Amino acid sequence: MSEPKFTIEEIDPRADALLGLDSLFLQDNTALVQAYHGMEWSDISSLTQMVDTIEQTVVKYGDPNDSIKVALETILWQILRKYPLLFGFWKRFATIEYQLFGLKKSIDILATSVKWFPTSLELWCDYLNVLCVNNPNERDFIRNNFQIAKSLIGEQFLSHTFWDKFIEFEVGQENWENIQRIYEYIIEIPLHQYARFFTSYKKFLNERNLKSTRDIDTVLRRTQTIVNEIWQFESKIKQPFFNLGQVLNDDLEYWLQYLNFATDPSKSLDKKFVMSVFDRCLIPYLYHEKVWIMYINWLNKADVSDEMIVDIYKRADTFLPLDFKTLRYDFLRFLKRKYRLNNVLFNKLFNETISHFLKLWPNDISLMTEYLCMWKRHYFKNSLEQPSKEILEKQTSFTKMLEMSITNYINNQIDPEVHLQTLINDKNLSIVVVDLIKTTWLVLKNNMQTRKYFNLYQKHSIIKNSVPFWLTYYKFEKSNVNFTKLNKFIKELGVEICLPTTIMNDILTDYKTFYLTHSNIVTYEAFTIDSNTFDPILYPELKISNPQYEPTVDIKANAEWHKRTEWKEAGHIGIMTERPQISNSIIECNSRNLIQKPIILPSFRNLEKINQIKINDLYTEEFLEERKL
Amino acid sequence: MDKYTALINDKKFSAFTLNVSRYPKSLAYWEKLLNCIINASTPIYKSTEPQLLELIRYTYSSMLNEFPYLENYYIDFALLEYKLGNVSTSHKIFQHGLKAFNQRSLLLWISYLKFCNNVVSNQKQLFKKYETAEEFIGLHFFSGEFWDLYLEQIQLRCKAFKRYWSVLRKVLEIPLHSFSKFYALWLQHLDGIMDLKQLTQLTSEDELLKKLKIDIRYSGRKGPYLQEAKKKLKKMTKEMYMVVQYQVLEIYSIFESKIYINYYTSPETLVSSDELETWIKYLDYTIKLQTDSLTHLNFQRALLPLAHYDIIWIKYSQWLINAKNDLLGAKNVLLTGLKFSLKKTKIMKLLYSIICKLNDYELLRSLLEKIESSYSGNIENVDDFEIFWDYLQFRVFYQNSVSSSRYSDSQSGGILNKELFDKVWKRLSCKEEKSGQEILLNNLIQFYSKDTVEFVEKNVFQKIIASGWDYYLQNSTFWSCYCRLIYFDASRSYLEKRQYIVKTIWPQIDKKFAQSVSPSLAEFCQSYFPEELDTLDALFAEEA
Repeated sequence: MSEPKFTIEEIDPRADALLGLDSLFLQDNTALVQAYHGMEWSDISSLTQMVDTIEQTVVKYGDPNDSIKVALETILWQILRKYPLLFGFWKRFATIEYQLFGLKKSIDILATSVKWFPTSLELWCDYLNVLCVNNPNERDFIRNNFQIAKSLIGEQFLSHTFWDKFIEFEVGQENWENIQRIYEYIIEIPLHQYARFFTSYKKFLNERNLKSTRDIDTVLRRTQTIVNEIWQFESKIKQPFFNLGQVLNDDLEYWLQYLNFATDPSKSLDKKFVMSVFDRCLIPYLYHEKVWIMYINWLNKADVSDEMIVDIYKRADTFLPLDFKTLRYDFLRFLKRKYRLNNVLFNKLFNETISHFLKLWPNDISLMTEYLCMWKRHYFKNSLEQPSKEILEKQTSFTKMLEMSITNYINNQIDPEVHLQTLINDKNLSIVVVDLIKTTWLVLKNNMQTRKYFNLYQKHSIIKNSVPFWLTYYKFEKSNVNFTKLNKFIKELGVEICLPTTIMNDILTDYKTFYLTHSNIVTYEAFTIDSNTFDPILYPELKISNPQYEPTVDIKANAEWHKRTEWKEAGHIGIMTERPQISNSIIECNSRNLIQKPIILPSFRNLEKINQIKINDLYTEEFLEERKL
Repeated sequence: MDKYTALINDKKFSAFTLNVSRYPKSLAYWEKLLNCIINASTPIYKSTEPQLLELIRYTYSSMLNEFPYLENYYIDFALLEYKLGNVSTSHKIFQHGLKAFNQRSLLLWISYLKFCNNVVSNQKQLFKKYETAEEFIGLHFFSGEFWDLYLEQIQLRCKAFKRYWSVLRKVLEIPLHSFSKFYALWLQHLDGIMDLKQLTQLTSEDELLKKLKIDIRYSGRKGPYLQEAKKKLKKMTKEMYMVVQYQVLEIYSIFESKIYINYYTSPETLVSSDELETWIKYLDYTIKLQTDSLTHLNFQRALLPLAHYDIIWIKYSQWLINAKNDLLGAKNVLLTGLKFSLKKTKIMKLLYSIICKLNDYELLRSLLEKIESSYSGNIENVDDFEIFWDYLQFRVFYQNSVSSSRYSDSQSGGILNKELFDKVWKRLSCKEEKSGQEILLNNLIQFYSKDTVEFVEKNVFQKIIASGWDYYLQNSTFWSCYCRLIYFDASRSYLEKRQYIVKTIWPQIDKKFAQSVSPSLAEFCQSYFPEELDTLDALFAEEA
């Protein structure tokens, strides 16, 4: 029997599974429609109810028309695509398919289930069982699947059901050699029912008059010791299956202890067994980055192939929620580290990963930094052993490529053939620009051109508020000790150039130091003589944490002061009040002057708004309180 | 045995004196000593032994010298002198105390004025004092008592009612804690008016006619007309009351009700962060009201409980600079702050800058010298890196200026000046025992001329490597600083720089420090020549 032709994966998980169904059908099945449209994706009971409703519909119609069948399948597929670890749903899906389409498609569903959830003991047992019962003649196909299952779930602590089935199958084939091979394999695995297998193995050897190549009792003692040791962990685990919602913290704690035990090098446990513990832990804790990272750290030490590690990274990437960045960044570091060993392969993987991550996090500009670094390293490879001319040629062509990509992006004419150009977006364009400038300035040492780039790109709205761009500019002018440009830059910070306050604070602090250590009194006085408000020493100091800082000379001269937000918000930032005021107040007038001439009568501002303003009247409250006493 | 001899032979007295001389900043010891002397001398009369009186005077003035914000003790001291019949000394003590607060102490003014009520008979002189007090503390939220005193004296001493009306009229507008009392007074006096003509004491004839339509020359029946006029005036009073009430409620509920300490405590007393926060918000609020005398007053008020915190001093000077463009004032505030505040770093930082802006380099020099000498010439040993760092920056700035005029050799200027560089080197050689080493390194590499780069490489980086100081050799910042020093050297070509870093610097890194050094070197490499990442990997891979 060949690979099943039909797979559920071919179904398009379209947005609305019920779209295009007969309106009469929809009217008759409001429960189904409601369950589907009101489905809470993060609530397992809502999902369960959906499947219940599908089952009821199947019972109701028996053999509905094709479009209904497809709609029902689509819903189930939508759920399982999102949560492939809900093994109970796979089983019910298989049953539903049996009722709708018959046996073959039902088996296909089980085949698909072990593909999407390969570490599920239950699904494998179900699948193999169905295969043995329904296709007893497909011996090689079944045996092959037993072998696949063995490598995936054979080491699991509770996998005795699988092994029983495997032995039963080989007994049916009367393949005694295979049976002995299986037993020899089992007795080394710390299984919950290890003792039973020893007994039956001994019985088998006796009956068949065969001999083991080893001393079984020694093996038994070893296995027994391990089982006893791991039992302290296994016995505590309450929820070994995947579920939605809160996970059990106690369980996680036990799992972590278990994993620490299993990965302890002094225990020298079998690699496959340790992996099975990780695999099992990652069923309930699929969304826990910490466990995935532990797994990868262990794999890195366990001397396994890079492909295997890449595979785990990729699996983690498919399942982990998008805001988990640690492991994904670690993947990039891993690829960079491995690049030296296989340039082509790891460069390819790296580029794919960057493209993928950029889709997840288009705002993350560090990805572009990483990419450009690898890009230069791979496509503009050069080494000090080469003649200088060749090295410099590479640098020049690198710069040209950068400039072209930038220009194309800005002109909206990107070349889809150039990978770099497909990666640039509004956020990370500045990174490419900065790289171009840095190379021009520090590698090609062309200060004229560097300044031209600075002038050209700072006008661009995408670049205008870029931190790396301005930091580079600041460094550049510092290296030229160009105080005129630097002072202008410092003055424009926060006004024309808006960067995060912490960054601006760092720049201001640094500039003050730079100025003090590189300037002198003569320069300072020459500059401040024609600038009243700005000076390179005090001004940056006062501007720290106050980016809009502007030395103001007597705001009161401004008659409109009471109309300014600062006044309206005084005492309660964020809440504007039209506070009542005596507009011709005399409180600043000394009585010595007051008695000289008649006092004018008070006039008021906002008096009519007084009742609209609510203030917690503590004053009166306390006064009344005192009166009572 | 006379009282004086008995006292100085008293064991308690000598113990207290010893404590005070040992811990002059501890207020509790001073209070114990003073109480001990006063108890021994009671009752104090003119005829008390002169030696004892001298001792008391000396203790008071030393104590006040140590703690200039002890309002109560000025009063005690002044009243003691008054009791002894030394009126002019009392005046001096009060005035001395007021000076310590820039005339802005409500408590001192009230006591002083009460004292003056008794001893100053010249009406003009007395009211002059009241007017001065008014100028400085008249807007204090709790100045109701002062205004009471003022009005009382006016009533007592003036025959004409005009002054009384004017002062009361002003008080009505001030948001005071006890504002309603003055409104009651006002209404009471308003009721007492019997003649239309009297209304001119409140305001001008013109105003009355224009704004309230009251014609004091009304020729009809005056009785009912006066009643009408009073009604109008009362309505106006009510409106004013509403406005002031609003202001008082706002100030009280947001700020004043949350301030519990309105007096000086001691350097050892901690003020709750809530209260500190309230003061800061209160000051922000006050600044926005744009009433300068109130702003000054509230800053001085805040300084009473918070004198030993740097934040109020800094805020005060910033306000003077930003809103008043008063650099001199700001400088003076900070100089006083320097005496009080326990933390001085931030005050120094701002002060240096202000002095530069004032172009007062003589003061800058003497300040730097003072700092230097307060660490007995070894400022590089200070624990707080910022003190050293600010000192160094301004010293370099000053040195740059001096050397560029006096010496032609640019090498001796700035950071490369031997004396200053020695300090830097001494600081660096403290290794992990002092903080800020990475900041120092980072700034040492910000010189881009050929000579300086060579100097720094030889005298910092090479010297540290030669000394074999693990603290730096395993520190990734050290190595990436070294690389950047070379990479930003404008006199080298790209290939020279790259070659030098890869072939000369990197091989000097001990492989055993690979783990701690490699991340930041990789970062350096990634930003400046990713082509060499393989070399870097290979360099450390052998070890891993």
